[in-house]
Amino acid sequence: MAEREQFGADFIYDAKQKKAILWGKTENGAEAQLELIRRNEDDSHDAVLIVGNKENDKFVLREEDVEYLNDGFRLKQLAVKILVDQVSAAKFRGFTKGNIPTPDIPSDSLP
Amino acid sequence: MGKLLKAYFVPNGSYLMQEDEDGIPDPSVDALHEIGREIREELNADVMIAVSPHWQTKSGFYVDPGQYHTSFTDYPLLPAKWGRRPFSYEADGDPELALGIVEAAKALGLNAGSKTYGLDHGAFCPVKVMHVNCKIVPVTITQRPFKECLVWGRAIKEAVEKSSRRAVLVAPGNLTHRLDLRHDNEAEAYLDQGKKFDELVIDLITAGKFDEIERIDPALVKAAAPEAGLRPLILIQGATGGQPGKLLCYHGMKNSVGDATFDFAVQA
Repeated sequence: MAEREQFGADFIYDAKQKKAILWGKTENGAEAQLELIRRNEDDSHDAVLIVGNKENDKFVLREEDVEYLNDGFRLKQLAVKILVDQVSAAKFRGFTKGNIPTPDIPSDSLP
Repeated sequence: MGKLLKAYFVPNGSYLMQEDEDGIPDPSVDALHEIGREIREELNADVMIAVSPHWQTKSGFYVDPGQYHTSFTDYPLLPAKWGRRPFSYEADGDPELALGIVEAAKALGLNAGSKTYGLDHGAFCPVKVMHVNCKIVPVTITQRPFKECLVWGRAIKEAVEKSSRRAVLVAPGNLTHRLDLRHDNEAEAYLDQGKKFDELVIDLITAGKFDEIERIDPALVKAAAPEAGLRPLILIQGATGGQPGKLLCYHGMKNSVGDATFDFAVQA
């Protein structure tokens, strides 16, 4: 996995692994990595949240399960707030609603 | 009674916004400028239905019925390797027409609905470079089968005709779309399979042979990996009644991407 710093944003699409990754922090300052690993037929996503290098939860994320705030968003099912910049949060929001971004890591096929 | 005046297939690479802003000569930018002039000054369109190739829902067909739309940045930003400056766009929406499209689609048997989504770069990039000032209705291209995308195009036309709008349809996309093979040196030869694929698709579209798109050799389609699987062209087929396209501009670039611009009349 390439290093986060090269991407210029805290939300990327990896077309090789067909997954989206968001990097942020929890309210108590721990590093958080939220991966959307599969888009399901109903447009929900299989997701996994990793906090402090420890895989915490696997869950199914629906667009309506996210509450957007000025400094990030709250995952309602897990009652976790993720702090991230607004540009990355908006890109993440679009992804949960069906967007496939220009990949940050390209592959020979999309989506 | 409303009228769908014209349809367009255009490129949507984020580089277009940068070249437009910086005044860098580019044939695709010139083509988009001319389309924008036509929409503003000749067609006098009230509204543009913008079908982003990046809004790829699986479950069905969606519109954004918002009164107002703002963009989000779904492309790599600088300092990433192929990043661009952040660009943004805002436009008034057309809730009445948007919901009319949903109704028409449901009446034709599609799973359709509405979502608050905004404008991704697949929609706002070409629209921004066109410099138009009409209302925008963002709609999905989806990952649904071709036959459903064809019906989605019909639904859009029927909804426009039930309204009072003068509308244009813009369905952006690239032909060959192999970003993994990109070379920034313009002197590099264009991907052979990409050139072959692009030329074949251009021949089919300018002859109005949309039905043959699905019969293109799967190995060639895989090699070219066209954006959204060429669904934008199938949607245009549905909306225009299968009218042949007029090629306005084409160039294969950076070894990896086929940028083509077509316009289409709409069958009455």
